[in-house]
Amino acid sequence: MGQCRQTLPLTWEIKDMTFVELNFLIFIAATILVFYICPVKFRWLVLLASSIAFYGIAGIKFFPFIFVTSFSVFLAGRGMGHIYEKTENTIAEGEFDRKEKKALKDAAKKKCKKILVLLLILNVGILAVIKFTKFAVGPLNSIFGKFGVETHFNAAWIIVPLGISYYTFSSLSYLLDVYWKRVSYEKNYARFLLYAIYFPHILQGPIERYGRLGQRLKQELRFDYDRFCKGMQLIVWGFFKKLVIADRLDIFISGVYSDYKHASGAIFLVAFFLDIVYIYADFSGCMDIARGVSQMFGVELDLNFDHPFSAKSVTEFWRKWHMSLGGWFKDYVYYPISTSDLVKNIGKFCKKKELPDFLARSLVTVIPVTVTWVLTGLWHGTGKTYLAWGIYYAFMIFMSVTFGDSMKALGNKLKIKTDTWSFGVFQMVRTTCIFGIGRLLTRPGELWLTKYAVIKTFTNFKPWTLFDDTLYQFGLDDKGFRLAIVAVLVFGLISILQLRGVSIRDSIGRQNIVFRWAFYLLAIFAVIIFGIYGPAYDAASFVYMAY
Amino acid sequence: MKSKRLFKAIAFACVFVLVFNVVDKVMKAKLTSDTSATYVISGMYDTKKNSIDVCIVGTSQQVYGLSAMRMLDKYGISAYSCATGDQPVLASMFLIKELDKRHDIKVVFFDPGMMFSEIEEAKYRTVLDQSKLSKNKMDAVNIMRKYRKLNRWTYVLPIMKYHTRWGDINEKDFRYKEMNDKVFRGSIMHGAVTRVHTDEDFQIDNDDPDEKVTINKEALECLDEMVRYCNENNITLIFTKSPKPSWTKAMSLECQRYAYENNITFLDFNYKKLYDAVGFDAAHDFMNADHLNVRGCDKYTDYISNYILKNYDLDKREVDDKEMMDTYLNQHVQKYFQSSIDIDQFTQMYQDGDYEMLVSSSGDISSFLDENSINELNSIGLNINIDKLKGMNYVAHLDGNELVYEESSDSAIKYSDKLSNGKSFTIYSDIKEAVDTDPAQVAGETIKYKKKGMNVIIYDKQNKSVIDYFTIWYDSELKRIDIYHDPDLLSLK
Repeated sequence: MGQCRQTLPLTWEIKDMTFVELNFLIFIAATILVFYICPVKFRWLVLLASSIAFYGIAGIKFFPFIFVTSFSVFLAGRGMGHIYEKTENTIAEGEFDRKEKKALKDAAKKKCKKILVLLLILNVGILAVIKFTKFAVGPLNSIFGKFGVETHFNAAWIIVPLGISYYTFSSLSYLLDVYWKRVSYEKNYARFLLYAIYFPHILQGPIERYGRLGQRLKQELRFDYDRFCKGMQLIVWGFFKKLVIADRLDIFISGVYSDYKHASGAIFLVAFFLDIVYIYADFSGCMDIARGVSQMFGVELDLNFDHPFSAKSVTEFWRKWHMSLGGWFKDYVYYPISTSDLVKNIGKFCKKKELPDFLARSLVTVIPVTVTWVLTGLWHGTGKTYLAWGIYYAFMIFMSVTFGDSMKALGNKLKIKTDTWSFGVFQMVRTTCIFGIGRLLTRPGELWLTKYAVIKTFTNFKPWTLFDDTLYQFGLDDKGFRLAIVAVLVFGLISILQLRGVSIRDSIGRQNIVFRWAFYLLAIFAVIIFGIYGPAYDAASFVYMAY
Repeated sequence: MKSKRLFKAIAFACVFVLVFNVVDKVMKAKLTSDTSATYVISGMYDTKKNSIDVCIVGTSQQVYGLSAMRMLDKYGISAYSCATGDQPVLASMFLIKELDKRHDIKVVFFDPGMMFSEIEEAKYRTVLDQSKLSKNKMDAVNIMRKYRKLNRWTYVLPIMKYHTRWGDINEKDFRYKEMNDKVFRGSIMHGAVTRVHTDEDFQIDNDDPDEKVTINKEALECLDEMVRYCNENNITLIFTKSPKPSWTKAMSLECQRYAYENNITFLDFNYKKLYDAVGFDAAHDFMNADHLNVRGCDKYTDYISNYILKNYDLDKREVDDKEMMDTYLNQHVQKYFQSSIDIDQFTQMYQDGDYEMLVSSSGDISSFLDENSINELNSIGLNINIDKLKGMNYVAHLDGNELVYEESSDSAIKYSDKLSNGKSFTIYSDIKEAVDTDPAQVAGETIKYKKKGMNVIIYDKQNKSVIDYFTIWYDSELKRIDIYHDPDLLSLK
């Protein structure tokens, strides 16, 4: 209950503190109280203490993991920073020519690279073992079995620390930024630890960069009434998306895929589209809660979604969806690979052979795109479905890069007007469907079920099942379904207004107090009444059989 | 500016809490059928402070078995029944404390029926969710947590559980208090009669106590707490067990042991001596296998009330809610009518009140009415001549003891007229159509008969309503002339 499915691939160990637990709200309220009672200069320590406490509530057994990663990265960053500082000082104090300066800098970089590689192996290794052991034990046992060796590898011993993907990626981005001299190294371990495990973003992201979050956490965190209120409003909106929309749609979608034999093609199609809404509402809802909580402390977290369904291409979509993850992989995987010697050599080869542009482009991009997207898929989850997802997007991006210009040229030849609003809508719908197909690879849980759903959609559509109450046989009754649709329409309307530049919060904020309060109370009670949380009321269990 | 914002924030918080309370009350399930926990518990909180001396707690046997209204009406004893169906001992303990907070309780009558059972969480929630948030409630929840896993926040904020009812909200959720027409000081009367058992079936004197029963751990902890609380607050705790076939001698002995060890009086009416002392009659006093109907309840209440008067010096209390008492008394009469299974029972009731009677046959009444029955019916004003009614349809209208109209015919009869207050009625007699005969229409009410026999409608002239309707027929299973009441009339929905 209450977990953002896609972004918590490793949270099957987590028990107590998800966003939708009452304990979490009480924890936030208590932290805010202590935070603002505390003098300004010590408030960052309150955030650090509460982040550690948050982790402790999830499980003290996770502490070794976060301390190993954070401390090793901190020391490595410090080490690299010292090496660079020493080199700079040597160059500044001595009289060296350009060649000598370059040699000194190269030597420093070489030393730092050794530290970097060591730390990458350590921390990526920890992450890889935790993530992939469960995935690998089955195939390993069967491989050994084929050679007549009976093995019983299992993953029961694996502990999955809270937010490991997030804090590992945040820590590694810091390490790489120090290596590339994009940021200065942090001298205070406590400050670095706060950056790494800052609790509002540890469950759901966004994946922050030290150059942004790290610096924001160093500013004076003073109380700002408007920002505090806006933070609360964002939390309510996040809960609305998560509890009223996402968790409600999830009941239906899960019902369809678990009772697939009774679902017609039309029902699968409805589940397909609602799943797109579900994942957006779920993920962005959790993100809003995280950002709203952080805003109340005066710390802005990066935006992670920018109306992704207004995107007109897949590449644009991934610049608007889970922006922090896309940015991370772009900066720390895609660009390094695409500027690597291997890819440069491929480019040189293409030039030498005078290959056509589109072919040269495709050869140069295939490796970085494939590696980036396969890793992105595996970040989301282990298993064949996520691997397939990664390969799917690698293919889509690759096709877009390779044939993008050709398609534009074809469009011009066919005199297709691409600057009309209808064409824009077509592009958005197309992009959304491409995203939905990607979801279809992972949502059902098994690739054979994905195939089953697709085949049934085309061979056994039965449109009448949309009108004869069959829709209500998959976990959501008619009232629940209608409520979900109304909530989705509200969500859609607000998104459209935001796209047009309307700030709903500011607009409401300008109204008279009675209207404002009525609106806020309506929003809060919409979540309290219609949200999916808590134990459901079952009238039958209260019936006393007096006869 | 700062203080203005602070004031606004506090004001908003207050408004939020107010609205939250209203929403919480509306969303909560209204348990208004069967033992009607919502009415019982909300009524408890609505009692005038320091007006209750006796607390009744425990299972549904107390709900239907002990009438707090009769205690007040006949004996001046002010009691309140907090009993509910399958009430866990923990809930009984909690309710004693809650009631004692508002009043100075002197005596508690506790039914120990649930001491030996494992009970699902819903039965605890039946009481706790309907109750106000208090230290007693959280203490009770903390005891529950020792024995099972539960989400305590849903007890602090029941809306966490009941918000899923949003699709089922109806008028009752807003007006449930006004709609209470059956719970009086926590007690409920029932007019049904079940004759599945004999007197001996209830009596455990000769039973073999060969089974081993133990009081379950949680119940024991709560019993000990109940005893401690009562001792500290000078409350006399009495265990009472009304007749119940599933109550065994082993349970009684275990209960007796506990009562003896804690110096508690235990009145077990499943023994012949006490059973006979009350005058229980298995053929007339039970609405089903386990629960007393209004007749049995009155006997039991009289016994307990006399026991209180004899042993405790309580203040004699006056009726504080005359409207409730009047409603109770009217319903009491109605339930007595409904629980009549013999002709002489209903004729006695008829004679004692101010009624009109409408009679129509849906079966050949000459085929089963005997001389005694006819004499009884004629004693209230009818003029039945059985020889002239063979194979004949029959209708009659009595106003008190005055025979206003009577007709018999071999063809179907439709008789329309007005009652003494001017309200119109139409009754039908067609022994060929039997139960398919058209339903009677009396003062706007439609009454459908379900048996072949002599159909009777009793109209209460004072309250201007139909108080009862039934069919006098021959029950071939019981092999006797019986009074059949429509189960829908007797249901407590």
